[in-house]
Amino acid sequence: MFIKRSDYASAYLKIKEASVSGGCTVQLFVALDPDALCACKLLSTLLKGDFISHKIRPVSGYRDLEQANKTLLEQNEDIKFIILLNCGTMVDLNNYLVSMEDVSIYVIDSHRPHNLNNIYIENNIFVFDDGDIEEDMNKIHDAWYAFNSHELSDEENSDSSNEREEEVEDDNRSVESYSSSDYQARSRRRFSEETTQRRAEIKEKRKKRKEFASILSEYYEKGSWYGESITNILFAVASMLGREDNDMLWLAIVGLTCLEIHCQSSKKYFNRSYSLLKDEVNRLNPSPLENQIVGRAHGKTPHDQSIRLEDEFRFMLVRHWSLYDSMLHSAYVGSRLHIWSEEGRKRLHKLLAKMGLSLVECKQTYIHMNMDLKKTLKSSLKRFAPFYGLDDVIFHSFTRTYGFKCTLSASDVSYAISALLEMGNTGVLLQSKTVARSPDMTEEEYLEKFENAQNQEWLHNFYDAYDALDDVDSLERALKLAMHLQRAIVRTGITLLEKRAIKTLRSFRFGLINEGPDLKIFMHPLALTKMSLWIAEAINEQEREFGKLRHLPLVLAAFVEEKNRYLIVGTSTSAFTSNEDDDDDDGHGHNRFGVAFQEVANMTSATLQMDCFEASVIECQKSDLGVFLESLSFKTLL
Amino acid sequence: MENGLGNRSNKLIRDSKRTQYLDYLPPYQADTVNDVVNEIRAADRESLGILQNVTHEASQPFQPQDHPSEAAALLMFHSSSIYNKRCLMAYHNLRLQRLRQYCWSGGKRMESCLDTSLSTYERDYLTRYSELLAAYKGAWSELDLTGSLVPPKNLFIDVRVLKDVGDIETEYGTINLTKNSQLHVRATDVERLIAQGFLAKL
Repeated sequence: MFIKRSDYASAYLKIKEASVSGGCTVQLFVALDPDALCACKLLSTLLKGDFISHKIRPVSGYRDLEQANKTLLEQNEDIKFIILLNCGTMVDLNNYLVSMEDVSIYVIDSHRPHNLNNIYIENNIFVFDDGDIEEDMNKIHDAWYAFNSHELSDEENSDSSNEREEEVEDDNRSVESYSSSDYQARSRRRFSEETTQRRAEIKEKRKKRKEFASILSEYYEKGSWYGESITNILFAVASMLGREDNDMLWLAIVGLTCLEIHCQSSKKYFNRSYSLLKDEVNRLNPSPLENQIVGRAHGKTPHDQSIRLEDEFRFMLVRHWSLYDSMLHSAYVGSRLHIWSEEGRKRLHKLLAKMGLSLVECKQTYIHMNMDLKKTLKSSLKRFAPFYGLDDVIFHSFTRTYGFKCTLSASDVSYAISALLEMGNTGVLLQSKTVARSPDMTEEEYLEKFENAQNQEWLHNFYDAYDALDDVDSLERALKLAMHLQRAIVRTGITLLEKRAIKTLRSFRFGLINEGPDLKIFMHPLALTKMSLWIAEAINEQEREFGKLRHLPLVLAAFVEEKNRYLIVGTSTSAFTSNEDDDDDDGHGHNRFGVAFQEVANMTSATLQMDCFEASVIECQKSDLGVFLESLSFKTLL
Repeated sequence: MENGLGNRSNKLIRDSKRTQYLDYLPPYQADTVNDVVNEIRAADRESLGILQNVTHEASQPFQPQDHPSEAAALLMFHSSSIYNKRCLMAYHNLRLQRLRQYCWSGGKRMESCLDTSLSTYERDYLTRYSELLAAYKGAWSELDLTGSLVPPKNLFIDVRVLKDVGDIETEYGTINLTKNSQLHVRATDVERLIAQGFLAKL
């Protein structure tokens, strides 16, 4: 079932009612991504406010979820609610979770498409709807309903009904299994003694079913995309309950910005959430009465925690880096100015020169830059940036003051927490050394051990990031990590582009990160995704200048030595299309790789592993990469 | 100066000073303690010898004015013995204090070093003190005397599970504690586990 927007509050109140007994009734499973992290924090704050004891368990993938579910829930009778944050809506949850009568499962997930079984079957699975199920999916609901009820009435076809169920679950194969069920029907017809009328009826039914099936499969085949940020959904819950405060608002802003910087936000929801948050910011942070210009860089009082609307540059971490570095390393400027080439870097220098900034000045930390220059920076950028294709270099965002300590913008925090998720507090990545391999271990045992260690590390990172959300000092430290990470991304990206290592295949581009000092960083799907977004943006921008409007999607593979596997990420989104006209409303952010990867997995014998909650991430045995790419290139990915 | 009077007991004092800042108990310095005890005995022997020489086998009373140099030597030996004794007592007192503190409030790092760093006497002391404490507490079964004296700020606390514990029974139902999860639970339910080091309080 799904929960409408207007019913959020009552869904939450159900949790509250069930917890009156006092036991630990709520279990949260959280995916390891920044939005889920913020959402988890927000939800936990809500639950704490109601004295509901709950348990948080981050999960790194489907297997982990299944395992955690087994160990945690099977004998535990106290748990009444399972809440899945940013995981689970894409699969049929009945297969993953032990279903118990009195346990309600709430799914709050920004991944799309929904698995229709989750949202339409009347059971104990409740999917939070961000509006699209209610508004846009009526047709699909009718089709789904007709498809399934049809099947029930048509008892004669019970032998093939199993097959049909499968179709709904695993729609990708629907086309193939369709033809097989047709075949069965045909053979049956030969023996049956039905009247012609009955035959016509069946024919009619079959035709209808085909129609419905095509609607359903169309829904799934669109690829994967993203709905509203789940932090915003939870913020909506909080504001319905009248419990929202500045901290929650900030979490919602960070959650939204995280989606934005990972290019996962869809325009529709982004604009809606943005204007909503803007109003909330104005409401909860009234501007001071006397409208004086504050001389201080940071807050007015040590306890000043206010959030402000601010125009931000699309430069990465500009408050904490030097202007030059932040321009050089931001994906937006980087791709527009082609900074991977010598010429591009010269262009950056030229832009700075035109704006009247000396290189010496720019390479200083931003705080130490000349005050006058900083004041005029915005106006001069507005004047000169359009010459270099940097039209929307300024965008609206939010900043938060942390007392006298510092001021962080929403994107700063997003970068910081996603860096923490990738690398953890210490910034030390898992090495093959730390996972010792005893000589009598087989390949599989070692693989398992390594995966466990990696899991542990990721979960640990999750808590580091979780703690950092209310600790400014560790957030500030994490900014350094984020810079380190971004440097690695840009460095690797430049190497790939310089070497012309991105090959164009039939239906996509392919890049391989096989070596290099930063290889370890890209063991994390999040980091690899960022990398691929950077490269895709760079290439697309190059093509756009030649007048090409359709771009091939990019597949990026990074070698994970310990596992002897490749981690593969597919990207089809373009990073900064939100303000441009060439993106039609529907196409934004639809990533066809999820479907394509699954088809390839079904077709070939290659050893593949899809464990990540992102559909477009897959792992492939080293020796099978060739086969994998070959069959992938026959898929239509646009 | 390595073996000068009082040097060894100084070592004990330095060790105690360090112990004050540790949350566990360092191993018992049996060798040093023995050395100090031997030093006291030696001083005793020496001063007895001097005394016997001067008083001629105790036949006449000792007059310090008549034998100033012997008197000075005696005084030195005497005060060094007193110094050593005080040091020994201070060292042991601190350790026993830590043991008592452990009995009252516990501590995970302390627990891990109990096996290795106690002398036999200290171990004996620990068991007997715990027995005494248990007997004392037995009189008030409904009152937890070893509980924290600081009142909790919240009924509920956030804890993170460091090691797998399994199911625990609480007043309101079972809680399953598996590694890498974070819980928001009643403080009273998990206090003991925090002290034992299975959970970390946030």
